[in-house]
Amino acid sequence: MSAAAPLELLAEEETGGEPVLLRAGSDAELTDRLLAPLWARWAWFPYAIGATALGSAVLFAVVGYTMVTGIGLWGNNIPVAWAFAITNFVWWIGIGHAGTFISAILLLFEVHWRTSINRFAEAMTLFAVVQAGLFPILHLGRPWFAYWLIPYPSEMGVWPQFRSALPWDVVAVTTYLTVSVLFWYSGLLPDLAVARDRAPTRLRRQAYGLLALGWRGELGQWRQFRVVYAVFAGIATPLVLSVHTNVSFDFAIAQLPGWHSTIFPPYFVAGAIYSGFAMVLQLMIPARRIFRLDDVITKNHLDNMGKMLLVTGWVVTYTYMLEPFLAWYGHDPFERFVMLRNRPFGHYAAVYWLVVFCNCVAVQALWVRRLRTSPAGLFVVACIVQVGMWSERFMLIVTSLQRDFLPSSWRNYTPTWVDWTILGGTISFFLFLFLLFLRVMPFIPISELKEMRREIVRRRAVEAETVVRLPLAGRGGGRA
Amino acid sequence: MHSGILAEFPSEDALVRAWEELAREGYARVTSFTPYVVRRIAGPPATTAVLWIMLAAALLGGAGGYGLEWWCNAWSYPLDVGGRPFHAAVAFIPIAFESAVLASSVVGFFAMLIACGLPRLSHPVFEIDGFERATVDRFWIGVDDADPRFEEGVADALLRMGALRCERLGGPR
Amino acid sequence: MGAMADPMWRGPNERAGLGGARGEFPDGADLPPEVTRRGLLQILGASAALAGTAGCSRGPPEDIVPYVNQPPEVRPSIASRYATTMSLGGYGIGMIVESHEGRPTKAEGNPRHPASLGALGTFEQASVLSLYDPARPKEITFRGEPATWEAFVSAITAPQPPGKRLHVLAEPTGSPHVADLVRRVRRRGDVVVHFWTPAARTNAWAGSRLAFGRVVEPRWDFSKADVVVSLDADFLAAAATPFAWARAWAARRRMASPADTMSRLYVVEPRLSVTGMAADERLAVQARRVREVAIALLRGVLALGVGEQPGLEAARRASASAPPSPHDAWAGAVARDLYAHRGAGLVVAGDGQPPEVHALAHAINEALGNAGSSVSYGPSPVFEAGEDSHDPALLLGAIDRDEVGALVVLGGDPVYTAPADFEMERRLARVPTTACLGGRTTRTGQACGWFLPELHFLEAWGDGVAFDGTPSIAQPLIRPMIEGKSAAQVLAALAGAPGATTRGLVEDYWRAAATGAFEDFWQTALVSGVAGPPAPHADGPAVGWADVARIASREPEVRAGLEVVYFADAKVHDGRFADNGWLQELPDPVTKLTWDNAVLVGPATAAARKLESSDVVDLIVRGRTVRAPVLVVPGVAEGVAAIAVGYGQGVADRVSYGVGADAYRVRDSRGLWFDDAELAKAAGSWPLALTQEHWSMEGRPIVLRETVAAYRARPDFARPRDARSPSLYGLWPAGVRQWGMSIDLNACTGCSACVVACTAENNVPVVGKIGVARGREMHWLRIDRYFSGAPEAPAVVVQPMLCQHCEKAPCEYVCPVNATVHSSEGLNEMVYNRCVGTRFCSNNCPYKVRRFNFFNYAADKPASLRLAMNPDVTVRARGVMEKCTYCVQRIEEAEIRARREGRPVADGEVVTACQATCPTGAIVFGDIADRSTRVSRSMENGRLYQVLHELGTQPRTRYLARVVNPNPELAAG
Repeated sequence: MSAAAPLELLAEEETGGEPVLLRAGSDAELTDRLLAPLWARWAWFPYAIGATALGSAVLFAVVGYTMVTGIGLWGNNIPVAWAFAITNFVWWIGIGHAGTFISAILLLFEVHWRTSINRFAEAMTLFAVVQAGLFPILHLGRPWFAYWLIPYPSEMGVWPQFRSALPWDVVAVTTYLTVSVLFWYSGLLPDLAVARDRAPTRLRRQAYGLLALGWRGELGQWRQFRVVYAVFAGIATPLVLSVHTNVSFDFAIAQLPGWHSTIFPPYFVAGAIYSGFAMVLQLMIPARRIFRLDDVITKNHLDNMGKMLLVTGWVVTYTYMLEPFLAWYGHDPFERFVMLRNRPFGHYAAVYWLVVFCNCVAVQALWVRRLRTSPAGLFVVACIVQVGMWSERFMLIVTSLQRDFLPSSWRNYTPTWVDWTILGGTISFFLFLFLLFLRVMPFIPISELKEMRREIVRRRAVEAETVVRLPLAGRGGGRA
Repeated sequence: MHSGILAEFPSEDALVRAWEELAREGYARVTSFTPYVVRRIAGPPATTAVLWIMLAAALLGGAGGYGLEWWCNAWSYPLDVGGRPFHAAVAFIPIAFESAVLASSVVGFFAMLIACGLPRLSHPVFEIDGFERATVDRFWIGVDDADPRFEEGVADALLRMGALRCERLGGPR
Repeated sequence: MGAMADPMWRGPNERAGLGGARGEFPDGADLPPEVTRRGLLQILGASAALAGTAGCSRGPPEDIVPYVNQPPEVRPSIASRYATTMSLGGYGIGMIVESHEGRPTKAEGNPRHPASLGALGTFEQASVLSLYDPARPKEITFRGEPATWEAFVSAITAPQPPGKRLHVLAEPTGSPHVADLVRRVRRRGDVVVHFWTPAARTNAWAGSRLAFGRVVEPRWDFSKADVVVSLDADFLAAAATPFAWARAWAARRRMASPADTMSRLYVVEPRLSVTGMAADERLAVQARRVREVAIALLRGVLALGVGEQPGLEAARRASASAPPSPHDAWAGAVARDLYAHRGAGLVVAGDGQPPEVHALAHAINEALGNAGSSVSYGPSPVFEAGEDSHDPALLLGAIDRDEVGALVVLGGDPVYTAPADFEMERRLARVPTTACLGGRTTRTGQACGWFLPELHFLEAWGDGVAFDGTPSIAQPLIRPMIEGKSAAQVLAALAGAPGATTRGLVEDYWRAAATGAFEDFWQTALVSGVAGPPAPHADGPAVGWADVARIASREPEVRAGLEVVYFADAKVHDGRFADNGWLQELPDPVTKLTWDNAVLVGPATAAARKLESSDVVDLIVRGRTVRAPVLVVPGVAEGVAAIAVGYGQGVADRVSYGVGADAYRVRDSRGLWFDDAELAKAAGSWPLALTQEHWSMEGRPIVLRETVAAYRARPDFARPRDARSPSLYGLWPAGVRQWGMSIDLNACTGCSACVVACTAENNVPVVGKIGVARGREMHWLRIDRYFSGAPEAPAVVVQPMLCQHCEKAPCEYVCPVNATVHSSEGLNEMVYNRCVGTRFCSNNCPYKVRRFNFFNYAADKPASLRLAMNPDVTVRARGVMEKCTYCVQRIEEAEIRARREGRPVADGEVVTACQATCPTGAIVFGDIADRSTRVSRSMENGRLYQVLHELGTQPRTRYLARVVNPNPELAAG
């Protein structure tokens, strides 16, 4: 299928007509088409960036307030010692998984439709991980001592305690962030060079020149580049899986009913990619419209993304079904209580059923191809899934803590305005960073697209009759 | 390359044709500057030294990570933590793995830059005007004058092969 | 197991099945920080008042004698202990107070004192904190303006105009030297002294007079009682009851082996009390119906034909003719049980019951021949107990006749606590000259012209008498921090000795009273904390059967409808402790309510009136109304609305300000303890801060409970829950000592004295109502209370829950920074300075005994309150976890001492704070590696088990399962 994959870009019935790859008369035209957003003036940009900047400012104000006063400002209590902060952390880090998944794993599977969106997804990953990284520190009682989780030679002579999953997290998240940055940046190099060579003003030329590190597209460079880039993908793949596995260990290694479960790693990874894809769609669909990219990010992309959403949605659904079953089958009274009684019928039953609706029911709409290929519809579904995934993490964390072993210590949790503000703040800080990225970086991989175009053109020459679209091949890509 | 003849071609095919001809004539030190990787001249991906470096880094990183955990919890300051053993092998795995990944990708990235001769912001080829299209839609071949078969005449040859123009990079010896 | 077999039901708060607490609590966190902090400050007592406390870093001026062989001078960092006495309601309790560099910090019981036997209750321990209350009045004032002692003396000792006299309204006292002063003052002729307190024992005294023709105090010996019947008497925990009783009762509940006999406790009461929770058979009836039950008991007992005392026949006939009561069957069974244990039974009546019930109790005891064996009688330690001077009517009448030229209120707060129909404030206004001596700014103090700050009992010399007449001296531990006076000094002033010092007064009295060389007497009295032998038993007072017959035959007016029951609160008593943060935050032993009182109603009553917890109601008694929250509590009798007095005190700038509802506002002298009432639901909701919201055990084996019969059949029924669970990893090499604790759920009454002890010993912060409501209370030791069975007549179990110091502690391996680790002596140690506050340990603690400093509680304390802190215990900063340490500071102290003396730590040398104060000795602590120690021996009991044993945490705190002794006859039907 990999051979046929590029051709699916031909399988395109959208009013936008032929994808830009073929419509563009020359490489130059294609290049300029893709770089255009970088040089254009965006009337709406100042407002957007201003709004998100304001939101970020609020975030940092509230974070400062918390740091000074103490996390008593949150709704947390004993027994519910973890709540919003950790929920947000897991949610954001999960979102951060789609980027690398798309660019690394799909690359290895040679799913070529990934090409138009991977840079997008990678950037999203970075910024999501940045949000996530905020919480492990902020949720500490004494954030100013967060560095005690890192082994450094100290007066005390004490070291971190590596049997706990939290140091694993620290390493996993920092590793993930670093690798994602490197992967993203090395992929950017050739395109930064293009931007350098096409930059209208001297200043920009110098700026992109610096970033491009003097890339010349010389044969030797290309040889090194493609090998290392592929190997990065190879490394990143197990990394993606390991990061959320580690995150899931934060719960799985505890003996709390509802946390202490061996299915957590796959469960969490699936959920992560689920919400990640949702976020990619949430960002991609508006961008596609704003920058008229419907001939770069074609309906096939939407279609395939929709399918991925459906698939991961089912994996998640499966774990939802499995958890209560295991509880019932395992005969552990505490486990049974949380899974079979507290979650579906307890104080937070509403959250549970919301989760089921968002993550299991709503997504089934994607069986309909018309919906998969309709940006609006897909966007709505993505939003629903996003809400669902956040609520799922909340449910996992809170319903387990709120009803543990001794009924005497049972208590419920109510978030405060500080909790909500921090959640909202991270969202706008995330958008702020992402807008900056859109503004200054070539967010569609240019040289890769050119190479792909070349492929298609040659294939056309070879088999002239295959200009007819190949719907099968078209879908073939999606199944990767 | 730093000095020799540079020839600009309009298309990938032209580049490839010229490339093969030069090869037949026995030119060894020939390179190309292209907007994207041209598989027909780049050939299949080959195992480079960078990969071995990355492998070594991964092994060292993993061992280092595990070793650090062992040293901290089992050797330097052993403590009775929940009755668990000092050397809790299973618990040490995740960090070992992560540090292997971290080490190999950081090392790999810089190794790649070095192998690519980057960062290098000023390079003789950038002096040639019109060369900036090498990243856009032009394909350049460069014949290094250090090549034993090199003579200035190669420029005419390249033009014959369909080069739009030839440029002399660096002064003749 | 019994409890598990019972159909489990969840607390009223849990109507929605699993629906958690009803109603959310206000968001404390929504307040800006200063508001939050102000809230905290208000809780802890307004602004810092260092002025008065400056002197307290110095030792007391007079040399006072250390308890045991302590070096005479105060040595830095070495605590000294002094014996002293605290009196409540006129009954003295001996205590030993720990002093650090001249700061009293911790009160513990005095083992040599008969009322204490080493134990202390919540009030006695918490009173140390009141000493440092920054809101204490500090100077003498007249109409709010600073004034002098001399001015007061001249004003008050001025001769009264003809027809007028000086009246003194004091609190009941047992203090010999005060009593002596009262006599001296009376000699002046123009002075009348009255005694009054809202929670007085006047009913008991009147009952004694009714039965015996004179006032005697029963001296119950529960250790001799096989059958105990409590007629609304909370003899295990109510204020001013000697802890000796609980100790003796527990002695018959130990069940060290199946062979042991176990007493049976019947309780008849309107609301659920601590004693009621411990009952084997409990009958919840309206307070007004207890009398019927008592008569039925008497009838049942006499019907079985006992003794042939004169007049007894009349009583038998009278009781037989008494109208039948719905509780006859129950009473009959109890009577048969009492009869079967003639001479080894006890019937005790509560202060809230009318004299008749007390008389009936005395009669039954006498009829059964218990008198002389399990109960004896002695003179009341309270001065003029049951005499006219204790009748407030005399004072009120005098005021109305304008015969009162001046009124001096010595302690207490009559304006606030007096029955509403006394209209104290109005009457006070009729008196030309009024003065009030008070330790707090009281409503009375504000209403009186003169105000004199009262010295705390740790600031003044004094004396007291225990329930059995044992006298003891009260020596101060600190120089007065305020310009205050003691009640004795005011009386002395009236008696013409205004310059007397508290020490002078006490010494002068005892110089005269003491037999033998005074110096020796004084020395021994101070060192031992006991100043003489108990008063001799009154030789067998005889019950006047004629009177009993009259009582028994009297047609009890059976009134239908709701009844309000007032009771002295377990935390603020009659309101005098309402400014004490430790007590306000202490969960009520029964309801687990903090920072409030509430109208307690049973589930049936609540359902009938469509009431739920946190609803607001108007409690209407005799046309007077008070607005209060509702709390539905299982076990409260149908048709009863019980409310604790002592809340809703309207004095600003005090901790008690705005806390709870003022039941005194509706309390009437004609129905001091129970009265007809109506409940009217009002709009809105009143958030209640409960420390335990879920009341059911969910059928989990947390508190094991068995009947004594089943226990004898299977003595090791609990053992399977103690077996060492298999583990991948071997046990760790044990150090020299291995600390462990056993808690006997049979002895534990849930009185919560240990919680206060822990709070005082370990500097546990107070977080206030919002903090508790948010689930952030900081108690290292809590007492869980579960209900099972029928909501109307629930089985209740209590369980002290503290750090279990697990062998395989789940909290430890999840800490990323090694902040909680295991010591070689088996302690689960919390390293505050290393903690970064991930709270993972709390999440992973199955017992949820870890507490987190969500705010900077310690730093937000008023400076003066910090003086009450124990310097041996680290003060925890914001953002760190904390939890029970097994009082590691005490362990270290003992180990250092032992090391210095080159010997091993002896068994019983390390006593944890909770263990030390436990009245029933339910908690045993020590080295479990040594088979010979008390704790090891207690763990050989077949009832030993581990909570959540199946988790394999291998806790070091282990429990002895509860064994109950129900009456088979009643169980049958």
